[in-house]
Amino acid sequence: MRLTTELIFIGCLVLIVAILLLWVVLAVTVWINKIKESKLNQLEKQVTIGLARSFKGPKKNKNFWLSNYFSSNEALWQFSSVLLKVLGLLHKAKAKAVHSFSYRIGLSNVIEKKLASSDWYTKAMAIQLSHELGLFQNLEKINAIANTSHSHVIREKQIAQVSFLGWKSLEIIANSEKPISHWQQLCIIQKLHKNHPVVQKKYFEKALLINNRNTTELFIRIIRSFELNEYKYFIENQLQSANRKTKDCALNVLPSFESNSFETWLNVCQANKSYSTKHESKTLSLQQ
Amino acid sequence: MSSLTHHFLDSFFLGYGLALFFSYALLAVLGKIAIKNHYKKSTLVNKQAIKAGKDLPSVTLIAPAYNEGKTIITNVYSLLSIQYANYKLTIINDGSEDDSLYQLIKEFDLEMTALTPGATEMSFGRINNIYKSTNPKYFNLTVIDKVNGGRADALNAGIAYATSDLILCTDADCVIEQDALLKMVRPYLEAVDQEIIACGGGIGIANDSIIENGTLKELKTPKKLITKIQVVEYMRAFLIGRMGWSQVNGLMLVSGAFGMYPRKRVLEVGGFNKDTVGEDLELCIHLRKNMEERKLPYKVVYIPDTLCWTEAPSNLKSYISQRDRWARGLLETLKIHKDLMFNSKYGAMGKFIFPYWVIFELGAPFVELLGVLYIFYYSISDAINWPLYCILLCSTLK
Repeated sequence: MRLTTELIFIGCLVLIVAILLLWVVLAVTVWINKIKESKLNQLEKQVTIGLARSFKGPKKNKNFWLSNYFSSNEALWQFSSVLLKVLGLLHKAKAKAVHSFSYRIGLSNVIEKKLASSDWYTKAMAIQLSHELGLFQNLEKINAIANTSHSHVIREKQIAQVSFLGWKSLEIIANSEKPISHWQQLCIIQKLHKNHPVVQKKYFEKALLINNRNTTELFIRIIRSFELNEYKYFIENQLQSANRKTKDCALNVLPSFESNSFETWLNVCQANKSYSTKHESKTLSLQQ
Repeated sequence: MSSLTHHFLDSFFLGYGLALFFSYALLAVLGKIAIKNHYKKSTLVNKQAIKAGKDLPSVTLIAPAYNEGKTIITNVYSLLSIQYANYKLTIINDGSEDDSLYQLIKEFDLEMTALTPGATEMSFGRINNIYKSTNPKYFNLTVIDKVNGGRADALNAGIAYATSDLILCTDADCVIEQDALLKMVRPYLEAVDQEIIACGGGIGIANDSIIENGTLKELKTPKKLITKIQVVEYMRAFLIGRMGWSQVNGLMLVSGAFGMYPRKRVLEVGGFNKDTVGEDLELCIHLRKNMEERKLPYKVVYIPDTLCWTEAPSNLKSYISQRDRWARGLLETLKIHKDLMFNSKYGAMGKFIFPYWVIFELGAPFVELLGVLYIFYYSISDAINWPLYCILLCSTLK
């Protein structure tokens, strides 16, 4: 009985100490985060004002405002994420100015170093910055990144390849061992439209010949997005796919072509019908 | 009371308290990891690109309204202005007795359309009419007028008539952030190996805040103590509970006030269950169960950002009534799905998550009440170590 009382007492003490520790940790974390956030806000504000001055103001004033923020590589790295935000808001002509600006301030060197980071987030961010800022010299290092890395790293690697190499890269991507998310597909198509708007059929045909389920949806969307009517057969073939997602994608995309033949419509209707019949019977069997 | 009973009860309360405390502590740690991961992943996704994307999954926002005449027009304008390329808005007039429907018809140039039967997978009350706007500005607005049947019934009607890939269920009186859909769709766009069957977003309390034209202009701390307490409670529930469970794919609840689901999965389970007041919890459990039965990989996710603002009860009476409804909903839902309890057929959900809900979410109020009674019994029998009791009480005060 005495032992039980002592145990209860110890249990209570452990509980009190744990709660107090938790409070202390929480208070310190909140305090540190507050300082970090205010610094980042300050940086964002300065960068936005500074960039505006840099593009609009007299040449002699350029970059004077930045010197305080480039004291270390880490400061430059933090600056890069702000730059990326600003880049998203700029027109193409101004965006080019940001690219050359990143060279001038030495940001490209920092990004190159970060590509070797063991942290997946830093690595993925460095790849993203490389393709967003057009740092073509980093392509070799990006290509060398193992395909066994974190899924976000591979995702950014593939987007970077498309961004730099254009249609040529589709052959590499067609061999992807991992499925490509809808989001990644949108990014790839966007990069093709932005940086390589002229379709290079030679490379695309080669990529289509590689029968990889992981990239089928991507190719369906590319055909649709670039209105490549001569490759519509590829989408029609997917109507018979055993994979529900691929079939859904083909079914969604095919009706949106302006030049659909009667046969195409017939195929879509048949696929839709067989799909709903299968779906209904599956639901029924589950209910039973 | 015999010493053996004392010994048993002491150990039970201590063991239960410690287990609850450490499970919350663990959830806090998991929640922290989940939030960190979420922000890392979301910074890698360019929201502007989603905004401009042409090939995005279609979303229908379904908002039931019952006697919301005072605010319905402002709220619909606010919902119509949400940023998303492939978006439709369906307002369900759930048998309102006020002039909500008349106001909507007048303001948005609504016209009756042919009444077609909706999806047959689910049941809902009789539909009176379906209205669409003749004004091209509001091409994405549909109003369904039906007989009153409650929230679950109204949502089912909306789902049955929706044609989109995803549905977002909310309430007509909720204020939704303009970029909410862009954020909510992200997990669906990024999913590769696991299908996202439900996605929830943070809900904030907007009492005493400034809301203009259906958008939150300035967030203010609520004036009343009861509402202030709920602010902390919501933060604990969303940032610790939901995010923690989301990290280990153990989330069983996506709030009815703001939840996104793939329409085809909701149809498979027959929509919201009208037999319980906890229809959001029931749907989420049912969706998970459905995926487990089909042996399909799935995930339920939560977005930690506050994407939806709502008014919390500001007096004790409405607070008690809300909590009573939630507690009944929990009890009813757990009863409906009692076959999940320690059922290894349903994987981690049957073995751990469901039992956790039964033991801690459902059991805690009962154990706490018994604990209070037990302390009362101890105090009258003068068996309490008061200094220790005070220290313990102070340290656990929120």
